[in-house]
Amino acid sequence: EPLPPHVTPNPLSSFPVPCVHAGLPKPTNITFSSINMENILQWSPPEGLQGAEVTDTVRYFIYGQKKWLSKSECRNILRTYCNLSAETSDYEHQYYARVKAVWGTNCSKGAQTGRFYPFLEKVALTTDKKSISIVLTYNVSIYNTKANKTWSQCVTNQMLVLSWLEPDTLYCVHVASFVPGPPRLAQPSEKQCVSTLKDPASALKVKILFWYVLPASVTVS
Amino acid sequence: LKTLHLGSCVITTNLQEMRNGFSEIRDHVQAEDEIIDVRILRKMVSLQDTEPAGQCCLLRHVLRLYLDKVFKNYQTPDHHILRKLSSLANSFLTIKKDLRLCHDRMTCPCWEEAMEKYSRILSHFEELKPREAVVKALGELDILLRWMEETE
Repeated sequence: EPLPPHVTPNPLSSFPVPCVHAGLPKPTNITFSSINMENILQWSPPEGLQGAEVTDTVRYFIYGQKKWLSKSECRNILRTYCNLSAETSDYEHQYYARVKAVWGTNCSKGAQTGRFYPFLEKVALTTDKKSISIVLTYNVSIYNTKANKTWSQCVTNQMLVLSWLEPDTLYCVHVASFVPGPPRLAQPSEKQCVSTLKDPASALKVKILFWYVLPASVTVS
Repeated sequence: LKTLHLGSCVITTNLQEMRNGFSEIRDHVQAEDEIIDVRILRKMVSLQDTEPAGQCCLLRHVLRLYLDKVFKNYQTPDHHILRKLSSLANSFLTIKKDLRLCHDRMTCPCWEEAMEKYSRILSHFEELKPREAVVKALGELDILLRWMEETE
């Protein structure tokens, strides 16, 4: 049944599985992290119980709501991670999670995360056995030297075609990688300049090939 | 600087700077809030889901709540946190002044929806003990900053 308002959830009430609270050490280092656009709960096993047949049970909580919720795939598990992507997919909400250690009929108190806000955590990484590919968004800044105007565009592929440029004009470009989520200062590339042709009738498209600009200097900090 | 479109009231804010500032103290402030089954800035009263014409009024009232009842009443020995909160409060003050200009130019009307939402936010705030309410409201600054961002 739901918790009465303003009552901090009692650690035991969030874990209906009957177990004796025998002062078992809690799991440690419990954190949410966004890996490959998935929200993974990770923790370290309780100290001092190496070799014992200890399993862990995960619960999660939607901030502002009333009940701790469980995920059956993460009940009494031996691994020290649990994929809570589906459970934490609503970017409007913030979440907590708890893990308790169970050894026979004894259990620990729940180790609890801080408040997790998926909206702030969007980082895209994909990996296979040999490589990690990073899906980055690039923030391209273009400066028209004649008009003394700068504009910028975000692109996710490695080529940007700039149309409708003025003839006989020097344009300078620099690129910085942009990763959504908590602010990260990215080192912009060196400035590269190119001038459009004098003949106004010629094509004004200039392909800015990223492999000239990007490898030179984009670094992700 | 980011431009916020609140109906016909358009202002610019240093949203990124505010987000940076809050991200440095967020874990600490949220850890102080132990009442995790209560949320003040709830989804159903969000700024971005408010009629654009009323967004300026709602934001103005929420900022006033933070300036008059939250920032002023938060106490901590931690000077780093106090500095960050002071900077956030100054940013809120600047935004509130800009919204005041919109009000003067009749582009910040307070209609029923906005006032209804604000009164709900206020009641969620006042249901809590003073210290609990202040800590919770501070911990929810990331929600408020997101609300503002979503009106870009």
